Amino acid sequence: MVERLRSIAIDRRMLGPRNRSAPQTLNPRFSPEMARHRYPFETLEPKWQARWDEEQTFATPNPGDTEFDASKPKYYCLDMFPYPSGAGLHVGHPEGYTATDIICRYKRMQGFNVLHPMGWDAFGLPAEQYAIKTGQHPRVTTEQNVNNFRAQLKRLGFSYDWQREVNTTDPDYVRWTQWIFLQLYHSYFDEATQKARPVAELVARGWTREQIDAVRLAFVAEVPVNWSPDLGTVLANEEVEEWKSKGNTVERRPLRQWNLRITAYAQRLIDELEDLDWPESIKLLQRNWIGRSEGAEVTFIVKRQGGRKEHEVTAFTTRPDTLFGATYLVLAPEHPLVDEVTTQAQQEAVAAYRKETAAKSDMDRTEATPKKTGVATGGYASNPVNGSRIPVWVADYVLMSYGSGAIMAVPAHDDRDHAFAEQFDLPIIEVVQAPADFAGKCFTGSGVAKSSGFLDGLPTPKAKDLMIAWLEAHGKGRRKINYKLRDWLFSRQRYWGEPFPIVWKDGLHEALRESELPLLAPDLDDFKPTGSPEGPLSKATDWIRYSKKAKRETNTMPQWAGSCWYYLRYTDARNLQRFASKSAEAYWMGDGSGKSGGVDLYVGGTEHAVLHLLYARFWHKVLHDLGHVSTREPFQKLVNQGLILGEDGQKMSKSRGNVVNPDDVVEEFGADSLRLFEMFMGPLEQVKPWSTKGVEGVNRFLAKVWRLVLEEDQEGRWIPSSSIADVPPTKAQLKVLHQTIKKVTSDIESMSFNTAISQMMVCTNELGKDDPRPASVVATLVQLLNPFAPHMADELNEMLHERFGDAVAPANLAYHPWPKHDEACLIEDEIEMVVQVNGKLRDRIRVAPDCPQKTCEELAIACEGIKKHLEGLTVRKVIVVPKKLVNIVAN
Amino acid sequence: MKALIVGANGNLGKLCVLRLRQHPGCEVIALSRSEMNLETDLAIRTALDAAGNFDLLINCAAWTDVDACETDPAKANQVNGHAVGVMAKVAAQGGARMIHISTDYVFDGSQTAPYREEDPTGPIGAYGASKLLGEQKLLAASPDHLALRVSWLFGSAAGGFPLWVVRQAMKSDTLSVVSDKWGSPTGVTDAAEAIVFLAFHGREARGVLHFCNSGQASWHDWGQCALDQAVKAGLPLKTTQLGETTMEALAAKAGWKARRPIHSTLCCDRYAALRGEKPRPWQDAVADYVENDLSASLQASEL
Repeated sequence: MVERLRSIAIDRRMLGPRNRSAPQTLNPRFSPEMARHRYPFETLEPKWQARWDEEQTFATPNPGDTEFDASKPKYYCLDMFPYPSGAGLHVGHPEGYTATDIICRYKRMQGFNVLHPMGWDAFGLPAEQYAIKTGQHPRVTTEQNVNNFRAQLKRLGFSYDWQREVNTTDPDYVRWTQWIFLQLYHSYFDEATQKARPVAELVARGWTREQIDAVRLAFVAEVPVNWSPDLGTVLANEEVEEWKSKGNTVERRPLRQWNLRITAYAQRLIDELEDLDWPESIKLLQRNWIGRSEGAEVTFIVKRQGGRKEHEVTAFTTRPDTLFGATYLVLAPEHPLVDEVTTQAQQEAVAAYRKETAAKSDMDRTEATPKKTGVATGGYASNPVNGSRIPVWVADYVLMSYGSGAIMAVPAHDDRDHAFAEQFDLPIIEVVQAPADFAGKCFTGSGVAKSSGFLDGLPTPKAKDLMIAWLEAHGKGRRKINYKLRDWLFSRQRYWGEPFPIVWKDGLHEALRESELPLLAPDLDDFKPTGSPEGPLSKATDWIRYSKKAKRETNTMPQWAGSCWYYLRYTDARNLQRFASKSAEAYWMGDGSGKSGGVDLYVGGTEHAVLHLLYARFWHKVLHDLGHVSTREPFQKLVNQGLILGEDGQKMSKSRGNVVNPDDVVEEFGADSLRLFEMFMGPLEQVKPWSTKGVEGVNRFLAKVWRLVLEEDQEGRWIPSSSIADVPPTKAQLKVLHQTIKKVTSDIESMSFNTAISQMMVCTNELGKDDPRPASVVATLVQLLNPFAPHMADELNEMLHERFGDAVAPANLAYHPWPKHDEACLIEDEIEMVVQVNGKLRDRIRVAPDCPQKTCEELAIACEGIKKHLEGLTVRKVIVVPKKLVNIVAN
Repeated sequence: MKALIVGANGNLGKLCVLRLRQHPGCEVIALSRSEMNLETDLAIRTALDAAGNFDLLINCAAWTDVDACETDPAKANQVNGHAVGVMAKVAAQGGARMIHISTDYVFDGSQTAPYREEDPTGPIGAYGASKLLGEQKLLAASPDHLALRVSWLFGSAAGGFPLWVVRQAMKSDTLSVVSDKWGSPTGVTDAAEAIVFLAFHGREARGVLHFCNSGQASWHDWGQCALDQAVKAGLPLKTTQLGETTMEALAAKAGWKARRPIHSTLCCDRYAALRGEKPRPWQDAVADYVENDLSASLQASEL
């Protein structure tokens, strides 16, 4: 039924425009099936897909393999691998995939060894939630979805090396994900060298177990986390928004969790962005996410009203120059000193406030909402620079995980502090002179210090430096660089993820030996989350029991783990001894050109700017520090494809009913048309709407190319067109061909695929006018088309090869050298000159560009259009402007 | 009724899908080549399995490239023969009827009178032999199945011979076509209409049945008729009169590998008796096609 409705809808769509354009001389009773027979893509596309599969055309040998050709340069081109969802491929996937496929097919023809792999990011919540609903093991669902995705991708003719396919849920893959986790577990960040080093070095130096556990790159910590009771798991800060928007509640809760010390790499993650060929916008997103700020840590002495015991609180500030304007101190509700400073009278209010805060996420708390909340503790602090007594408050706009969980509030020069002070009627003291034209209430920019004792009259930067020097000299603070970036919460309470290779014994964690990997999750009858921090694995009592004394860790890793290193596995996907052999990793990731990144081109959506792309860089740097990989960055060049909107210009969604299924497009127009259209829609990076008419348009173009080369015989079979002959091309044909070679080549290099296609359309139209058409010219056009519409190109090339042989068309197109343009063919060999009589335009002549002046004069006077205007007149003078005009003066 | 159409993306299959869907109460499942690979029996069984129960199976799929069949007779026998047998068996086991499209090429072409259903077959090429194998497998699976032999299909999306002639005549001043090969052109819309009739009404039709438009023609007659209609329709032709050539000459020029029957006109008396009237003359079908559909075909194929 669904099938039937769909076909009716399509029929109507195609009926409209066709009817209008049919010639009036005939009665067009157009039937929809007509338009679809432009050329037989339905037979030729499966034919070539089967042949590429059988012959393993795109299998890529590694160094050491017999077929490996070391003389060729390498090119590693990577797609962001998909999560194999039950819904299958959508039209957004083939956009990036087609772009990389064009580049890869082109690079092969340019003589590169090309690595172009595909795989599956297959752990994840949807398969697990389906398992919870149906009881079917996530592995079964995942396998079905993967099979569907693979079949769909093959139907689009992508030139992946399928022998290198990876699946993050395969035991052979999980083994190495766990192995990398152990690398992190067994390492610490050495501040002196700014590199990861093995903790074994610390053991040798006599560090205690406790000291070492405190510096591991993978460590356990009790942290306030985003706990979702609906999902039964914790979420990373980066994930909170997505799951909340899907209607799940998320609350804050302190939990003992595995974390990865990504903060140790904060500075390197900023600095080493520099040499990457990434869009500036993505670099900026990462820099902002890491959020480096320079400032000072200031020490305040706090105590309870009337109390004796003094405590030190350090607060980070980016504006130490405003310390004289600090009129109160704010502690995060989770701050350990809250109880110490709260007075009896305030205890109840503070306790209630802390409870209320627990239900909010970091995002909620730090949003710039006009209404601030907070409670006075009744405690006081002393301002270190002038000894003034300022109140201590608790408020949730201060996060425990940022800085030290305490801030000094300068309401005159900070928007949030200002809003808070106004709301609770706290004093506001201006200490920076705003410019005369400043009209606002709260000046947050740089100015000149005032009411600030020894800082008065100094511009902000100088005042900052002097204050830091004063604090350091008096032991009341120090210069400090702070980052917004948090450590990466790495524990999930799920079933369908990698188990940690960790056991617990006497309250201490211990790593499994490498020989015990992979550690796979036990089969369960019930995949439901337990709603407790132990997760569903805690139900497998036999599995948990590692030995008499030791129990397994029951949390699992987040989905990001597998995608942090899949690009490395592709370089040697079937290796059982190592995550990838050293030689394969060095070859494909190698930096022969002195670049810092390994993958030559990485294409995917912008949604991964601060998640996958930051996590993967972090893991890669650790592996590089430990000597396991050869470059310091994973991805040298990154390109983001733009979103494809529905035909109505809205984001595609099931509820809007504007989702385009690539399978339908392939069925109706063929894979080559889908590929070509996705590239013809507009620049790759741009957001653009789908258009069914547009697909028809490129389909018609492909049919033109088809009929440029082939024609039907009397029995309806396609044979090389009688108009094609092995004749030398004309100058005009050579010109348009070489223009096309030049443009397509430079456009592929700059990934301007839409304009490359336009040029091929121009070329096809030009050649279509000619009879005979030189076989060599047509064959070259087919080679240019190959990266874009490979099925058709291979088919046409085969026909040309059979008819005209190697001299015209190669037996194998995939590795045939890419055509080179000849600049000499582009030169205009005739130019047009305007001929005037007494200044009036009368005719035009065509001459060689270097035609002598005398000849131009003679030709102009002799041409037909001029003769009649000169009748009865005497030519007095002829003026020639070279390459432009001839003016005949006569009377 | 639930009908399954195999070869649903082909010229005839597409029309059958469209026409059957216009029948109220008829559910149509369309299987194209990408959904059912006829080269392996397993793929056929899997695809039919997935389609569930059905009452009628119409097989419009075939490998019709006569010369290619000659060089790969094993593949021809699989696709046009064994595959039919598998479908026929599955259909019979599920209590369904099957209409299988066959061809005039099962005859040797030596008989000048129109061929009747019971006339002896004797294919002279691998294509005809493979189609005959299909008929035999079909009827061995169930005597209730129907092999519908059609000849010289043209029209609709693919256009066929008349489209070829008109397009050539628009391009060149002289054009010669074969005048010593005889048969009955059949409009593909007429054939689809006959299939729909047989699906709903001619249920008693079983065994072998012939269908083609009435009358006999050589390729030359056929092509000239198309040109005459094109003249009427005002198409810009460079030549309006076809020259004549022989099959032998064309075979040498085009490098034919397979022999084609000389005479293959089919006698449709049995169909006419079932239907109560004779199929319309082939000339009408050609006129209809040129008048109504050819312009769209030309447009779809314009350079």
